[in-house]
Amino acid sequence: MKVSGFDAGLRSSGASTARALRRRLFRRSGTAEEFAPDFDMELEPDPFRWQTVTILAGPQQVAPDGRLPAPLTELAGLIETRLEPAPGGRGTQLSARTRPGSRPAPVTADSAPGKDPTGWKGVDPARQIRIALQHARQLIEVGEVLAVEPQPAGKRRRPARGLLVDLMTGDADQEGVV
Amino acid sequence: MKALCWTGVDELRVETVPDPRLLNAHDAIVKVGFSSACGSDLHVLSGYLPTMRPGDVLGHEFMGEVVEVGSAVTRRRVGERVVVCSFISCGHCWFCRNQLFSLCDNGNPNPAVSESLWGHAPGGCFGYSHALGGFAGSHADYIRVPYADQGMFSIPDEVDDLTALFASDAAPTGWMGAELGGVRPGDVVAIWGAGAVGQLAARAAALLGAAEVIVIDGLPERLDQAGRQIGAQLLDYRFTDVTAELQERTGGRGPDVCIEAVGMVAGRPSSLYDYDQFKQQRRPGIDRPLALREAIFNCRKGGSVFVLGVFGGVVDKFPMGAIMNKGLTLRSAQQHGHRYIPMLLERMARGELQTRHLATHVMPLAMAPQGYDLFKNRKDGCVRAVFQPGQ
Repeated sequence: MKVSGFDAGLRSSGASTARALRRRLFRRSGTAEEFAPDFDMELEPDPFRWQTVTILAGPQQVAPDGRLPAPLTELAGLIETRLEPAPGGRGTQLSARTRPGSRPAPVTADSAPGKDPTGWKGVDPARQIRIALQHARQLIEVGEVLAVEPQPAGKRRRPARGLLVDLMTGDADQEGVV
Repeated sequence: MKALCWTGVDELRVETVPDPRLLNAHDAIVKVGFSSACGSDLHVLSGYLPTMRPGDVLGHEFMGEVVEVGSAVTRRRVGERVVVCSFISCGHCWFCRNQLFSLCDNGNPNPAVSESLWGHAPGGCFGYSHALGGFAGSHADYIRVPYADQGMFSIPDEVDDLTALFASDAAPTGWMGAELGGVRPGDVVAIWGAGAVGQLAARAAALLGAAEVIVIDGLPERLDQAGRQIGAQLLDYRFTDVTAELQERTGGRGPDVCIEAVGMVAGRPSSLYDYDQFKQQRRPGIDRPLALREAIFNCRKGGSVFVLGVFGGVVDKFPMGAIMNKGLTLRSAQQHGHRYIPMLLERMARGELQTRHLATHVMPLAMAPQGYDLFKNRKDGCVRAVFQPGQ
């Protein structure tokens, strides 16, 4: 997905707005009043935190002879990965995180869309890792990545809330939308 | 093709839209025979689940004929008459393998929306907002069905189309409430809501051996159906005190299993209702749990409450004290239909499960906006408006 500087800013604004709405919803909802401090103390996300999916398959199926699933191979030089057995016969936990020192270049007005020289395809590595993990799970468990577009739809007007939903769903296969 | 599109809060329009096409090898295309309005549609229609985009096609409860299959579809074939589960599940992930089909890890391509709201994402659902995948719905001439081998079920010859239609959603939802609510032979079961799901939960409770099944509502035409078609005892909240009546009918114990089949738009004249409605309209995401509170309050000590009605956000004045101090078990789920649909179709074929009567208003797709008006505003005794594309 191409993310230009303007689009990235717009998405970031949309996500911030949605996050603020969520905080407001919980903080102002009467009986939830006492929980408000938890949201006020929400920490900034750790850019190097491991992200994990559990795949109902053995380690040899997840990474035959140590070879990563295709969606993660595309990020091979940029991420670290690990495999662990999931407890209770639930398969394998496949984790990935940004390799320290491998951060995308900052977006400026001169940035060419999708041309980050560091190898990342956008401003947020965590989102790319998240989508790669989810696609990897689908490929291993089902054999295909579920598509949803193009599909039938009527005329797409864009009232204010429609724009917000567009922004959320534009990133909704990724991570941390709101 | 023609399709019923959501165009804004409480606004629907039949539009000409592109035909669906196969996007994955496991897909099929179904020509829709019947597609029903559902009470949960009202939540998205009215904007209580604020993740709809103008132009989205509504509808998730449907049956029809297979007209095209992808290269990986092996169990279904073109020309087959099928009913399709409203939830989309892959059949391969841990949740599907544990029969928790509506929680499928792979059926929702937009997981981050619902993860943000609920912590984790449920599976996908046809025509039910972008929080549940953003899939086009069934109020249309044709619909694409992902994971077709998993989600489409062949309809036995003995079962007519209108009867089979409700095996898509209402019947498995009702059955799940009774089964996972833990109904056992000899139980007294109370069900809030005499709509299609409530009636079919009542029938499921009876088939599972409940000694008494009591259905609570305030709409006479629905109560009439629950009495005549399902054989339930009736409790009309317009004329009696629900708590006092349940105490009297259960020897002071309260019902063993209470099933809530109303959801976030529960409505009944009372000061608490006014309070809930004020909060809901002022701030999206605050649901009206009127029936849920009552179910918890009236359930017997150590009993079980199952929530079938759809909730989207948070609720206020939730009686946690009653749950804790009475030792209640509270369970809920979107329907795990794949678990029940083959069994329900067999029961329909044997005549054990009647559903045709629920389709009180059958009409062409072109009249769907009027159908939703009848359904939403409880006009003309409408229990379910059912649309017939191509008519």
